[in-house]
Amino acid sequence: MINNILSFLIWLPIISGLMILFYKRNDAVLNFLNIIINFIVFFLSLILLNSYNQTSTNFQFIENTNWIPSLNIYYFLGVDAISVLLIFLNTIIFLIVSLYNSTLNLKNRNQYYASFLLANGLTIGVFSALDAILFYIFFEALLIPMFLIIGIWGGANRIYASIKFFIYTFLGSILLLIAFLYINSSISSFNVLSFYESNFSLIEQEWLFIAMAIAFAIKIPMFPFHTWLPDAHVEAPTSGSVVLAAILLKVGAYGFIRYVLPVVPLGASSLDMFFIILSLIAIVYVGIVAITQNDMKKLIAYSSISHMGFVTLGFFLIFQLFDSTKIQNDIVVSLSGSMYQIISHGFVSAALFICVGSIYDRYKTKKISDLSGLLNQMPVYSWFFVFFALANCGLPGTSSFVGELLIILASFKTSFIFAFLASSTLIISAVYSLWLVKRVIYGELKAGLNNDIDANFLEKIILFSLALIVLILGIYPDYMMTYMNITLQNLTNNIILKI
Amino acid sequence: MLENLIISIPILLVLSSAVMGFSSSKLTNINAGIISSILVFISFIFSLVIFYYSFTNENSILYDDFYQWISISGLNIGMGYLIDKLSAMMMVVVLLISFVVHVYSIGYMRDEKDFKRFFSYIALFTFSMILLVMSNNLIQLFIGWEGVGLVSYLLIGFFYKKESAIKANLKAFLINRIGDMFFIIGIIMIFVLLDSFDYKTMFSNLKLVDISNLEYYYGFNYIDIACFFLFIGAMAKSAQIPLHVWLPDSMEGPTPISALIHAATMVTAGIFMVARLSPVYIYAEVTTDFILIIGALTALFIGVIAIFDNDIKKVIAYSTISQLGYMVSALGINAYTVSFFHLYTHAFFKALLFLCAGSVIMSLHHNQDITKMGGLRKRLPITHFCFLVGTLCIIGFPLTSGFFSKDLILEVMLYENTDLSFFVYILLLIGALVTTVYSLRLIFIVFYGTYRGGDIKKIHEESFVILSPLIILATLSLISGFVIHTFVELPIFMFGVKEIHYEGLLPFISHGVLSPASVTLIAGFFIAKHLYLDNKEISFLSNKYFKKISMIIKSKYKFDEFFLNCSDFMKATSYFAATKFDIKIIDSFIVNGLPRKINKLSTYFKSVSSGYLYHYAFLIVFSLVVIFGIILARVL
Repeated sequence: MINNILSFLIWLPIISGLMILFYKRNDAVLNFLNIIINFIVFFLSLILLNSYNQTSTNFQFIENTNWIPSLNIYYFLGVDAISVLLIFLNTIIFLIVSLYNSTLNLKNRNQYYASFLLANGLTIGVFSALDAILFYIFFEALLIPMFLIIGIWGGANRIYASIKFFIYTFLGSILLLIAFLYINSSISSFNVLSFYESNFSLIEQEWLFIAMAIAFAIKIPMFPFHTWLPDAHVEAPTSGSVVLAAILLKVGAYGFIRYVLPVVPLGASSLDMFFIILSLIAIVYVGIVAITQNDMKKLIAYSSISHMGFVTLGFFLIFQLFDSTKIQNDIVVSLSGSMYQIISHGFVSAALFICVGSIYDRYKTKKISDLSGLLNQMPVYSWFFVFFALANCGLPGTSSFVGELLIILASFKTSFIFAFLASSTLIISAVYSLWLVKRVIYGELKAGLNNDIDANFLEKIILFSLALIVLILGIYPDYMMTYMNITLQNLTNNIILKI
Repeated sequence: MLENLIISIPILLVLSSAVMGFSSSKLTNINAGIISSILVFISFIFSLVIFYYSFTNENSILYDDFYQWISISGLNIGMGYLIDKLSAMMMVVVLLISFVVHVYSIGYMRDEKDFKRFFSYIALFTFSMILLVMSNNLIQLFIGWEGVGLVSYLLIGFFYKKESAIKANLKAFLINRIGDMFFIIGIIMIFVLLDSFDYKTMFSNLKLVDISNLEYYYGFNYIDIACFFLFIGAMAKSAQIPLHVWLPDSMEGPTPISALIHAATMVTAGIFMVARLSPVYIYAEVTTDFILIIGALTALFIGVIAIFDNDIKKVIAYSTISQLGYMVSALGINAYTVSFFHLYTHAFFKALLFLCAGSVIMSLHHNQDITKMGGLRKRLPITHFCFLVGTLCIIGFPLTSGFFSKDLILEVMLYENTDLSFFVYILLLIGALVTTVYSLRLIFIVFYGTYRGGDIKKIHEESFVILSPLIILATLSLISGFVIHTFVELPIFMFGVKEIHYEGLLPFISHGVLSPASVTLIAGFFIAKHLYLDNKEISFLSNKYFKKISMIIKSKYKFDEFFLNCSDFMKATSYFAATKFDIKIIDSFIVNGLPRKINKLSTYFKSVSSGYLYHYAFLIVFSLVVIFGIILARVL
């Protein structure tokens, strides 16, 4: 079984998700089933995390079967440390979402759960596919459950948001498919490993880079492709927002590190300045935009974009680092920072969206101007909110500090200006996070807000476990750092060899 | 054995914080306070053992890592400790003051609903401070640095319903974040230069660096810039002009906190950091001049504000800023031990002053306005005595602790013998006069004269829990100056520290008594007596000339307005970016605009496919003509 663990991880949630569609009698049973399935998936990913050999540079748990021979398409799965960690993040988040969902009042509960289970399996597929077409299929299919989640269970303006989300990301995906087809036409393989060995000319690489980078930049999203995200978040139900922020954005980042940097490094290095500047704009400009948002979800959405700016900054700094220092370790530091930021942001943003969602459930508003002094009514919730807001502004001791530190460090080695702009997030993120806290949590309770229900047991468990993860990742980052170190070194070698 | 003691100090503190934070309601407040105090007391005893060890074993530096925070190729950051005389001394001071404040808080906070939350915070604060002090690398220092900032934020906003409190804590955090942004860049600059975050490796790599051959940016060398950025972090934390604006507002927090965090320990973290990095700072010649000037300006100009404020806690807060200015200016001439000596004496007498103020405030049922006090000497004799001791220390009355430390700063400043240091010496001397005036003003207005707040009979001393910390601190304030030779003679894990001319205790005292500082003392006494004891202040200030000056000072030089304008500007920018640029241009014009254009375009095409045969016939012929035209053109 351990050899086929990836297939289990992918297909268990997908098949059980399809099966759950036919059961809608009893909500309690449905909740129980949903949690159990997600828990099994989480447990499997734990096994995967444990049995993965960190010291090897090869892809592991490989499954390779011929799928469509005439088109050279294989059912080819395998993971390295990056994928393992992302799969682990994914299954934790979906487990937490399944717990959270069971506290909600829902229409069509079984369909809702089915969508999430589908999304769970498909994301694992994205992270473990080593055949470009297989990756593309998972990547595209992932849009369907997300489209449904936003479009059916979303807020008032959900149709606009879901269609915008769908068309926008789909547009990028077409470019991605074209790029894959072009690569296949010259090396006649969709295998990622042979992608890595390909040798395209500079012009070809540039065009391939542009096509793929736009696809993933929309997904992350990078400035100026970011406007779909706030809309999608505002309309999405809470659990949808959690998955969107914690998982879906990471798919874009994963695309960069798996398909863009190692496959077309020459193209990336000739256009990297452009992307560094876009990342810095995301960090500074989008952070500033977040300050005056009146919708809490929008605020956190913008802060997500700003934080993802760090991820892309870390990715694209590597070419500048290579030019200026020629030290491979610096590149590894930069990539480690990005990876850490990806994982950390997954947990922090998930927790923040759960906090906001719970406030919405209780007071039926997400507007900051309608809220004040929630600490008076729900102290437990509020302290968790304060904690995650502080984590969001990169407080040392929480996970977000680690990634930001490494990326600021890497950016200083390339240019003082980059480091200066990147570190301005210390101020900007503190302004939007803590000003939010001041207005919503502190102060006198606003008249008319009536609710005596503090966090219930399940919510306490959810928030506490997220807080614990954020703290552990912040206090002892070395576990994850060494876990992915060999993989990142290998990746760096691959990239350096080609430029 | 010693290692175990060192490790158990932070563990005890974090345990105390967790127990207080998560305990059930079964634990009564008093018991919680006692448990918390005992845990801190045990760590204090441990720190004393460590202190004893480092002062009895010459050249002994305890150094190890608890664990590796990050260890990947090219980047090694550990979490550990480096105990030398500097950190051992600082740990003792922090834990002692923390213990005293713990005991005091049991009495002071006894009626608070969030009693345990308060104790959880101060334990967490002590933990972060210890983390900062015992750190053996810059990253751990930064973690502790932000940690104390965080607890300061939480404690200033302890009374979260008060609008002024939650404004003050946001302000404090954001101003500190401005400093931290530069601080982190400074740390990274040092790392890039010396290739390590670890103090030991850093300082040994420093010897390999060719200082004269460093890169220059805009005429400043690399170390200067790095030290400058680090110092901006210290300016925010240690409240130096212009980043001092958060400290007076931080008085919104409970009074024990003002004593512990905003007077004795956290605000001195900046001084500690510079002293710790002194091997680097001695190469930063331009930056140390900058430090010197900032320190002197802060010492004088913020001290002047204290003369005009009427809030008992804010007066002491301004005096804290001013005293920090003294320490900073001593850093500016590389006299790190001297600065650290003042830090150490100041910790006792300033904590004492704040706790006395707390006792007064409590006795007066949370009145902080000194214009409604007066004549409290008879009703609060013990508090009055302790406050008097604190005042004598801060004005540098001979043989009190403040006399030794402040005089030493003035001495070395005079001895430095450059134009700049002489100028600073003059500023500090005027500052000493100002210190005398505002300190005596406070004690005259509060404890002498007649009571202006109603029935004085209702006022009485608080319980023993409140008073015993005062007595401990008063004793320490009186005697702590006599260990001056320890500070003068023992460089604390530093290289190339300035030699200080010191010929023994008695010559120092007699020299100090005969120095110009004594003149400021006497002059200050008569000014304060004339103005405040004899109540001539009103007529004095009605002088047209002094009125204008006092207006400027009362406006606090408009620093608050400056930061307010900055935040307004940021909000306006954000609003503009969010509504105009992000929504209007990117979203409406480009993202949703393109589909609209495509839609429009498609209506043209729609009209082409009309269903009329002659339209199609025409199109076919037209296309054929075009195609043939192209082919012909190519052939020809």
